[in-house]
Amino acid sequence: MAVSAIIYTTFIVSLAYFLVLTIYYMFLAFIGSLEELRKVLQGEEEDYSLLYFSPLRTPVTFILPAHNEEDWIADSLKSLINLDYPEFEIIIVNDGSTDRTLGVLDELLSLNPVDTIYTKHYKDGRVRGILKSEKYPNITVIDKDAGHKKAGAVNAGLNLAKNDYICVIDADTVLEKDALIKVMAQIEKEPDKIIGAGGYFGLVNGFKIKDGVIMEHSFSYNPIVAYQNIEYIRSFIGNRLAWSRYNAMPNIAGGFGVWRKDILYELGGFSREFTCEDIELTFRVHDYIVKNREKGYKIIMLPFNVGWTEGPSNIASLVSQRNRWQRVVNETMWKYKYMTFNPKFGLFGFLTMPYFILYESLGVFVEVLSIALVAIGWCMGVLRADVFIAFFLFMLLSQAFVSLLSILTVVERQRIFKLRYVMYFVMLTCIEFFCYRWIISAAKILGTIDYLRVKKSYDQYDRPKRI
Amino acid sequence: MVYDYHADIVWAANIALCAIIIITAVVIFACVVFKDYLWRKRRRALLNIKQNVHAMVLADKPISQTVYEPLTFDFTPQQFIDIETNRAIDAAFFNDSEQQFFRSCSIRPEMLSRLEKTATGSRNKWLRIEALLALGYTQAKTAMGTLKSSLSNKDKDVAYFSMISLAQIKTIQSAMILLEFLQKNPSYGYKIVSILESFPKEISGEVIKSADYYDPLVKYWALTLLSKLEPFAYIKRVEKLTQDQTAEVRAAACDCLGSIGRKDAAPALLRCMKDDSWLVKSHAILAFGKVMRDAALPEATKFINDASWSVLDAVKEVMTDHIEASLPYIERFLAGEDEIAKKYSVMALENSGYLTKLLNAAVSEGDNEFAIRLLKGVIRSRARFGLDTAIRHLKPAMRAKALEVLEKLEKA
Repeated sequence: MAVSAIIYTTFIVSLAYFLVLTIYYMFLAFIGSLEELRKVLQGEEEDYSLLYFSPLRTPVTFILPAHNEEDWIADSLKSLINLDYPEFEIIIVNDGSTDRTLGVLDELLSLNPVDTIYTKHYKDGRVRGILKSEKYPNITVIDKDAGHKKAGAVNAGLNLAKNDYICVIDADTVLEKDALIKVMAQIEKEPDKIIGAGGYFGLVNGFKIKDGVIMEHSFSYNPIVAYQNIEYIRSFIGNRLAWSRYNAMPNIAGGFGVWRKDILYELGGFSREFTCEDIELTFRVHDYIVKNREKGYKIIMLPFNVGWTEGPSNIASLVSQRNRWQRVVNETMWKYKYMTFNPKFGLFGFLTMPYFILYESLGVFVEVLSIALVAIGWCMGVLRADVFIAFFLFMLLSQAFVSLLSILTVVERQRIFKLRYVMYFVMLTCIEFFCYRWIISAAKILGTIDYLRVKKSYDQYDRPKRI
Repeated sequence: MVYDYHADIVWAANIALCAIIIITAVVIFACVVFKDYLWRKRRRALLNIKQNVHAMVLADKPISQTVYEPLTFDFTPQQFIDIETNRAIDAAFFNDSEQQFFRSCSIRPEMLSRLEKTATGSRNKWLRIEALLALGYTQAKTAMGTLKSSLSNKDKDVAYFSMISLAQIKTIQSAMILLEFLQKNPSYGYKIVSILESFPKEISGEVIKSADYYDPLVKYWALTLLSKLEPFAYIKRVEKLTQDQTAEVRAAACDCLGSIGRKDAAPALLRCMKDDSWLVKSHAILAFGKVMRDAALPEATKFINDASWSVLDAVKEVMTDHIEASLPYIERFLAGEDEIAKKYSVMALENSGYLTKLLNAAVSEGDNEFAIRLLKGVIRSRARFGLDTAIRHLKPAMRAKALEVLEKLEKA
């Protein structure tokens, strides 16, 4: 009888959990869709020449932290050099690379050592030297020791950055030509309020790239890559746009994120105590602003496709990456748990924090336990087969529906993916529950175990070499 | 105890989800196909217009009813903006003469009234916005009334794009409208100043009125704009603003005086160089440098040991801009004990390209005592970063000689 009670309770609670989650995602998709419509149309009607030709334009500093990026950094850098933006500087931080990263940079940039003034306001680790490019006067390379994670590398860049806005990108991210101008045009509408902005990016795996220019958007049909593209759509377009609408954005991704430098200065830059630096910084900004400044600040997400980044293309790499992400989610949730249902933090505390705790942190255990217990119940004869199948199907269908909603949100406004690839997405969402889902769940469980073991290493996964 | 798992409800939910999924998949398919179709339609329409315009431009036909009718018939505000701005460059590109030709054919009273009707009456906000933008691109003075009233629309997007549209009509009247908008919405200051700085300089008479407004943010933006417009007639009023309560306004007033460039602003700038705020000080030093040129150095170099990096950067810039006159000061700093002063002096030499000149002089004129003295000072200061770059800029034959000279100086 106790077993029946447990199985029954599990069944009802799990159904309720997935129902609430599905309704939550539907709400986010609806709001995200409206927000996407508005931002995409704003982007289409904007007069970018005003920004481009005005002497008042806002110069931006790009910071590219690079650790063993010899195969990817050239394309990333060239895409930055080719950007359609009037004024920016690039600071590449060679973070103790043991491969030919610095050699590649020297071939590309013709570097010379300089002894410029370098103030250590942000904690970065030992800097071995600073090099300036002879070919591109706006490019500087900081050569430093490793050991302080990506946060330390970005902080080194911050120590040298001279502009009021910072854009942090990954060294394997290839930007679209109009990425920065579209994002800055939005920021410049409310420069006193907008502190941070993120954009949507997908996976560059399989693209044909020449000299930093994407010659062909040949999306990969590798299911591991395609599923990640779906996840990125779900996350950036499905969820973050809606959170952004209510100023409840939890994460400006490290792959592309624009921050106002004065806030970073006040916060002391990125933290090296966490496994990753991006999500924790976003939380810290929310926390700092609420406690120290007037409200009215904004951290926004924009639906513009800003670029493409390299992603894992096999299961081992994917698990390694998601393990790391899970650790940092748990670390951040634990540190900032007081924000949950805290009226001081507005909808961030009521809309975002509960989702992150109940789903991102604990959700994998709810899913795995509920499936396991219900399956055990069926095996023991406590549960009828049709009930078990109904339960299983409900989980599968609700998840597929949520993914399809996000895909619909992106295709109804933007022409990023071709028809064949979109249909491939649709097919994959229907079978996601049988395969990909459990890889991610396993990674999350491993990540939680490693979190409890206080593992904080960055663990860069193996990335495929570019053709 | 028998538990009711409500399997029937779960199955009903599953069936509903299945149906919704199928519908969503079909809608996704339809969206992709429809968006592709819309893009191809847009491209075809633009290419048709392009072909007609291109042929007429080549044929050099005078504008007449028979010429412009095919063009004015049935084009949308979106197409008008596409042609004016080449924003759909993947579809079709219109060069300057084609754009001009199209504009002169298409801007007719009927077209303007059609646009005004859409701009004020359409229920679709984004169609209204496109019509407003198109009105701006027509640069029709009759459109000002519509654009002005749209600026005060409750919808932020309509107000914003009306402002963008007014940017195309570069007259004093539209400047006045935008300045009035700035007074009510100082948060748009950055954008409005970006727009107005390309307007004729005659608008400075209107801008100075905003500089007297009570809101410090409005004053700040007005002064920022004024500094781009050469407001020689308003120097006294700008000087008064160097005593404003707000540091940003004082700093902007200093910038403005710097851009006017008249020496009678010197006393006001000297006073601001002693301001408590590092922001005002740094802007005052830069402005003083522009106004007094070489004569600014005795006062500006007094700040070489200021606590603020911003002030130090300003001093460095003044020295860089007037490098020949700065040399005696640089020599003194290099011989002194202040490490920051030494570094900034070397940076000024490097940024101005003078370090390469010194090296050249030391190598080719072996008896150039001044060059040798200064190079010794650079080496002794240990702020020798610029030397590497300066040496690389020398011709190979000179490089070896330069290294010899530097080695001798180092040993000495």
